[in-house]
Amino acid sequence: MTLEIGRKYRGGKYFVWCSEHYDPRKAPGASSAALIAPSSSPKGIFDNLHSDCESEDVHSSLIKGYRRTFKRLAKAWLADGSLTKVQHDEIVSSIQSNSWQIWRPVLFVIPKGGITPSRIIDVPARDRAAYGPEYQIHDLDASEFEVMER
Amino acid sequence: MSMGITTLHGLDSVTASGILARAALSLSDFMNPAAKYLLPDEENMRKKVLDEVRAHLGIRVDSEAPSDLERIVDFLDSEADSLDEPIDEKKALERLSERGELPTDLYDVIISNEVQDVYEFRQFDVELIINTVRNPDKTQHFRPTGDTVDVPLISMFAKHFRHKYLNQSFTLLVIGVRSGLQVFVGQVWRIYADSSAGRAGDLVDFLKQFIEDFGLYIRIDGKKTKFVSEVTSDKPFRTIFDIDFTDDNAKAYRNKSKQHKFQTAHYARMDKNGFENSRLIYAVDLIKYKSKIEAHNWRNEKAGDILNVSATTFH
Repeated sequence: MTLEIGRKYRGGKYFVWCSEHYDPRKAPGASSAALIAPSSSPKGIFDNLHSDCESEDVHSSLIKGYRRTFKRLAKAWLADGSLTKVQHDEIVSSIQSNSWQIWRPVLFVIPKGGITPSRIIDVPARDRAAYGPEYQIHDLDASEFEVMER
Repeated sequence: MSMGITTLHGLDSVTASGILARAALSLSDFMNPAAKYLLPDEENMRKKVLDEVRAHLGIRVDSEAPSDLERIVDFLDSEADSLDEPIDEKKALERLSERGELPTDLYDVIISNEVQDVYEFRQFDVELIINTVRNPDKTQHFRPTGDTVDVPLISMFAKHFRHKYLNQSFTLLVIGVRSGLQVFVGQVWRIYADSSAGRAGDLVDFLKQFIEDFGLYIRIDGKKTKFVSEVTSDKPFRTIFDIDFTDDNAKAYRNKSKQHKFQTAHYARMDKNGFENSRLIYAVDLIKYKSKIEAHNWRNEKAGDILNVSATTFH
């Protein structure tokens, strides 16, 4: 859904919350990566969402959360004028539909070398799920990452 | 039920809903740029809104407990929802369909009798077709151009099905026309790994290469070919299209079986100037095609032989 919304309605720009470690459980025990919370692990999120979609779990807390976030974003974008009412309605109708396809996870692989360091924001410890490092990029362009799916 | 936050009185519903949505994002999705203050006095306004909500819910002003924050966010969401104008969801989804952007698992799949006849009305093939539309590996949609020619709204879906015997694995190519939230399936072809179509680029190429193997020669405006991707004419299509039975293969099949079985495809739409725009024109030699799928043991195939079929869910 993120991929589609970014492509169709946000001019190919994305706000991403990311990690340098795909699977923190595989990181050496003494490293900071080992301190990344399971709820912030890219592999953990990917696997859980994939499993929720495969089993069509109508109680999926991840999907419920994403649905609410996208609805808030659609309202915020409508209010700031970056989305028309027609586009707003398309986003809201899609996320409220019975589609499972839109929630299938994709992995953004972002080569760090191509991103100016000042654009990579270190998430403050108080806003992380645990002590392990987490990053954000607020204006990632579609040309700056590859998409992987299962 | 909406409490009607007093801080927002006097604001239009979109602005008020935006303030609430940004406030909720600031609590739920830390540092999201969409949560930034937009209005000149929004920082102060957000604080007042949150104070009002906390008071209404009986939550202390300084509480940062996750459960309290979640209740506040829930409340902000419901207040914002109460300000929304109603949405015609069906219309919005139909717009997405028109553009070929509807998630394909939302389509109602209607399969033509001609297709079902090719597969002898076998239920398992229906399952495979629905699986392909709802969960494709690849799709290609023809979109309206908005210019002079209004193209037929064709959708192509392809999905690779893994058979327990590798040489019986195949890609199912499903071609249909979408209308609203329905897709009318008019053509379905199994393309096995030993077919030349396996090396094609996009799905039109994929189909074209399949037609090279299984198509009959046709004549469009007197020109002999097997596949035409597009033609626009002011004459009715039936007057410019014909199957060419002078082809040696066609003749041989006709003589052998005494009746020639073929399926033609032609997806057309009339544009506003009265010109008919037709796409994907071809005729498949069903005798040749059926003998191909029979050679891959289609007739004896059982549901468990295909390893990646999902249970079909109906909306």
